[in-house]
Amino acid sequence: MAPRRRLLELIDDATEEILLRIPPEEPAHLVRTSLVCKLWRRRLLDPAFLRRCREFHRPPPMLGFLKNPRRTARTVDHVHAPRFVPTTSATPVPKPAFDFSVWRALSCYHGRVVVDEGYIGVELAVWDPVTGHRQKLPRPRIPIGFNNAAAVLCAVGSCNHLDCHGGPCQARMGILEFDLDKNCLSMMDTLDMYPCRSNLYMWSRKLDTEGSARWVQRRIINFEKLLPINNPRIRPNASMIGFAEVLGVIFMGTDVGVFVMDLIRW
Amino acid sequence: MASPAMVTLISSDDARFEVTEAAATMSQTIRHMIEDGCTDGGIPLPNVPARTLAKVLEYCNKHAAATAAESSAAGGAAAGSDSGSSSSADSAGKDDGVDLASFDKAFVEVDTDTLYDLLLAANYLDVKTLLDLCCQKVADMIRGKTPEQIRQTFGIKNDFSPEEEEKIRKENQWAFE
Repeated sequence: MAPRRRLLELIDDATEEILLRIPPEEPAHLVRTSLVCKLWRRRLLDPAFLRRCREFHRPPPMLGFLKNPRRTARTVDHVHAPRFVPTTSATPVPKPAFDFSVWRALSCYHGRVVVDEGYIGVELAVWDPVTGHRQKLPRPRIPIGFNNAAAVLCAVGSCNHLDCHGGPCQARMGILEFDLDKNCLSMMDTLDMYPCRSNLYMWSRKLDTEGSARWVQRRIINFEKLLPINNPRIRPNASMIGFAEVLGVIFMGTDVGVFVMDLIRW
Repeated sequence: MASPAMVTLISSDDARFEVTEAAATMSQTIRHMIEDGCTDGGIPLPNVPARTLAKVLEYCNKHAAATAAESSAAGGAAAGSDSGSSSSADSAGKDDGVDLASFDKAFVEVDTDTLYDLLLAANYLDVKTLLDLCCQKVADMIRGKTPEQIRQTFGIKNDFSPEEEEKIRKENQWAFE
């Protein structure tokens, strides 16, 4: 009988094609696979391979979400409850070094989070949950009130946002934009998605033939229909608490926990 | 009625397979040989044994028939009857995406040795969709296993020293908890 063949005997190209197709939903699987043998580890850590991998598996998988304590929560337990809720069985996101303090996540985009760490007033920082890097923003000279209306965006125009950790970025605050590199406020902006009672209205900014931009309503989603209908404990207090635009998911807060809803597959 | 163009393929162990040109040319390697006029007396495939070649051709026949059915349905003409030498139970016109997807899924439900043979043959013959299918199957088998289980499944030797392994585990503790 012929000896059992080894995968290592396969030509290099096939090994790369196989490793490329390992489903990325559980990042731990890739890390464990890198411990199989040196050849595989070299392959998996090769920057060119990683670039290919990010292109192949788009959009990137969700690692978890940040959940702010309720505004009314005054107890230590609530204030200090972990904000990051992983959606993978093992998570590469370490507990943030500042988790002991009172802070709120305002928005998350392109792998970075805008957090407000102010006890009184607003103290903003941009935090990269995977690397742990945190950059405090200077206080804006204009007094600003926040209501979940600050976003951080990668500032590289040509970027595909698949791995832009540590690059230049901008924090956008409601109608104001703060450029982290230039240290200045500018430009008007607004959110493209907002909830109203039980409907979610999605709008897009479209350029018309004359080149001027206007808002166009894309879709109305009745999210009560998305929740388990026969459970009276869930429906009355359901509200949208966040969204991940890249993945097309929304987060619904209810009395019994947070639901993640996939609007693309639904 | 014009019968479809046929070509003869010769496996490494000298078995001869007669298949439609449409099925054979799913392999880019064979397509180039035909274009170069190297078909007299059959096309030798010295890297592919009969057992594996039969399986690859089952895949190619199925997919070529599905493509033909699709284009004839689009043209409004009935598809020609399949070649008698085909072992697959194709019925032209019935194939659709769902059929092919379930065929593909069942096709790679094989033991690891057969899967490797298919992978190597798909790579040598350059049948891209079959290569992708086999690679995805191997990747799915890797998913969720510990490094030791992966090594056992695929017969891979651990070439890390215990110290090296320990260091990597420590650096990525979250993934091994």
